[in-house]
Amino acid sequence: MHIPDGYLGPQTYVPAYAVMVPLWMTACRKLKKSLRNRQVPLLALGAAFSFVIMMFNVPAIGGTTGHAVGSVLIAILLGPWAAVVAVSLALIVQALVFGDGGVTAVGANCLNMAVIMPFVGWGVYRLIARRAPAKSPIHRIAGAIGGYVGLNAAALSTAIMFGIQPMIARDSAGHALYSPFGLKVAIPAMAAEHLLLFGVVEAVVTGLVIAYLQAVDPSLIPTPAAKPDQTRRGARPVAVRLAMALGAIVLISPLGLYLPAKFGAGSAWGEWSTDEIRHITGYVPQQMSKLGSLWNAPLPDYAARGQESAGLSALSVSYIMSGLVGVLIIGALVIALKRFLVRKDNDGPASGVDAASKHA
Amino acid sequence: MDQLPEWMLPQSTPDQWRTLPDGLPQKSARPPRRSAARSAVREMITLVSGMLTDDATAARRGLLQSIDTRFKTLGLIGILVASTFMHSLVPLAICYLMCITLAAASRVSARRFLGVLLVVPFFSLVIVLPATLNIVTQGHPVWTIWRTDGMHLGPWQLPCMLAVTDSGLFIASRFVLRTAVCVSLVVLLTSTTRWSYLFHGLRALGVPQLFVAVLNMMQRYLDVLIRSAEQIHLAKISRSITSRSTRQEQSWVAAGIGALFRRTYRLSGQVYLAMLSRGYTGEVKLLDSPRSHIRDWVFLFLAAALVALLLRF
Repeated sequence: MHIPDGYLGPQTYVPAYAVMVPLWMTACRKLKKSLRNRQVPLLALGAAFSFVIMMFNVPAIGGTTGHAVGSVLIAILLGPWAAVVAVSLALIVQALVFGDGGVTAVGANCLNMAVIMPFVGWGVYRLIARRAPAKSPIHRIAGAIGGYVGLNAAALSTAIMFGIQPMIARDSAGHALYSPFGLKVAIPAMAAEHLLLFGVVEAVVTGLVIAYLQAVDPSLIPTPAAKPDQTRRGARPVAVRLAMALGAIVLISPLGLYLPAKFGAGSAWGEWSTDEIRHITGYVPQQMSKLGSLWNAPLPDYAARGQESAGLSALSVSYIMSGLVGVLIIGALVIALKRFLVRKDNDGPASGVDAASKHA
Repeated sequence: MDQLPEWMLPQSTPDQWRTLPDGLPQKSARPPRRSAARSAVREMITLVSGMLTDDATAARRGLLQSIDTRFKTLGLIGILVASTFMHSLVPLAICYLMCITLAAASRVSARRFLGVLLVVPFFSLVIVLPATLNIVTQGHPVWTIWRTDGMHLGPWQLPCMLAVTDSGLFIASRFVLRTAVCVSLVVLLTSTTRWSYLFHGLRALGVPQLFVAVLNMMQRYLDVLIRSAEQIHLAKISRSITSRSTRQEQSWVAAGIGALFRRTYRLSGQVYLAMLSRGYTGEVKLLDSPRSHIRDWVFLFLAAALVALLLRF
């Protein structure tokens, strides 16, 4: 799933970076607040841990092996924002030192594996595990499902990034500049191997590691009971709402896998791709930028220009602009989210004690 | 050394540990199945420890080694980004020739430099091959593989021929050449820079200091964690005679990762205490204050000039 250099055009990787920069900054600020100074060693070691997980090959069905990404596991154990930073750092080192994933594609890779994957997986996990006690088997089941769904969400967004390349980046003769396969090829190819093989590996690893930690050291499984400052009664609706929103997106996103099969044959490119993209908005910059251009400029005009392959630079500018619109949307979302969380912090202690005593 | 049993001699490999003693009834004549987890961990260790400690090229005297890391990062990454904007083969080919020249001038071994072509560009070549065919890329057929003459396969009508098209070849060669240029530039950067300086170059790209400090710390503890993984792995293979079911192997891998997480968590607490006791106040201070030379600016200027020239094509 590591996208190498040269597979994505600037029309895709620049918006991906533009989305990642505020997310990285938000993650750092959040962690600074919650972890204080401890963040530096914990993040450094978490990143190293994330790196090492990706190098453990796991035997799967029929003698095949695959490796887990581990983002969901880290999100469950250290929190999703810590996962954003730790997995991003691991991806940066992999790109720079091992040539695993490209340098220009770092933003896109981080978006897939360090944002979409941990947040979707963690959302599913939270939705299922809720406030189960640390030793409950629900945790490992929820973790396995979270790992499976998170990885497939990341694979889908990777496939979309690949698949839109021939549509958005063409040279003056109308030939694909970067990855030459469209969504019709990219999505089934990625979906098949991730639904059948790598998703299973991710689920197995996430579930079994949680099972191991439950048996050996249950204090490492973060449960609302173990962290009373996070289970206030007033805050619960927000957390549940957040998880439900993520869950809804997760439930809708597999539609993207079926749509090409349903609409793909014979229908126009633009038709079903925007349709599908509309289903999963809010995650991928191309989708954001598509959405942005949907609002700012008429899409038909835009698609026609892509078909004619006139003014590529104009196209890229419009893409970058719409990418920025996407950033603004995400920024607004983050600010809105932060407001909720801050309010949660203010009325914390009293209800926290409440929750703790209720549990006792 | 003569007193040591054979299996303890340094050259003995774990394979020898796993052969059954003569007295034990052997279930089958064929050797136990190589455990996938086992071979993978060993592969990982040799690869990573090799790369983590390989400063040999960076220690040589050469062109890129003499350039300040920040300038080198800026210049090479700048060319890399520019290469993703190039549309025709000529500037990409010039970029690749420039990479070869730089590699020769920096005394990067040919094995290392050309070895990377076997990974991403080769993989790219394999996946892009179908795109050269007329069923994916329309164009003038150059080489006809198979004439179907409008054959029917059940209800489907086959296209009248299967051929490699000129535009397909063009797309494929541009795609592969571009990935080759990109990975070569990354190899040039990392192989001519010492590990401990590699991430300082990121500051030239605007990465905040805290990020660079965390990256440097990560680099240091990566080594520790990989060694832990190696020990966990060695402890397992030295206690097992045959490989077990997939299910058991999976739970072993999971237990390994879990144990590693506990170690990571404990270690980060200890590292934090060590930082506190050395006067860490939340402010990251780095010791280096590198000074730039004229040649660094010349290098950056040449890189910028090259980019400007090639983008005009």
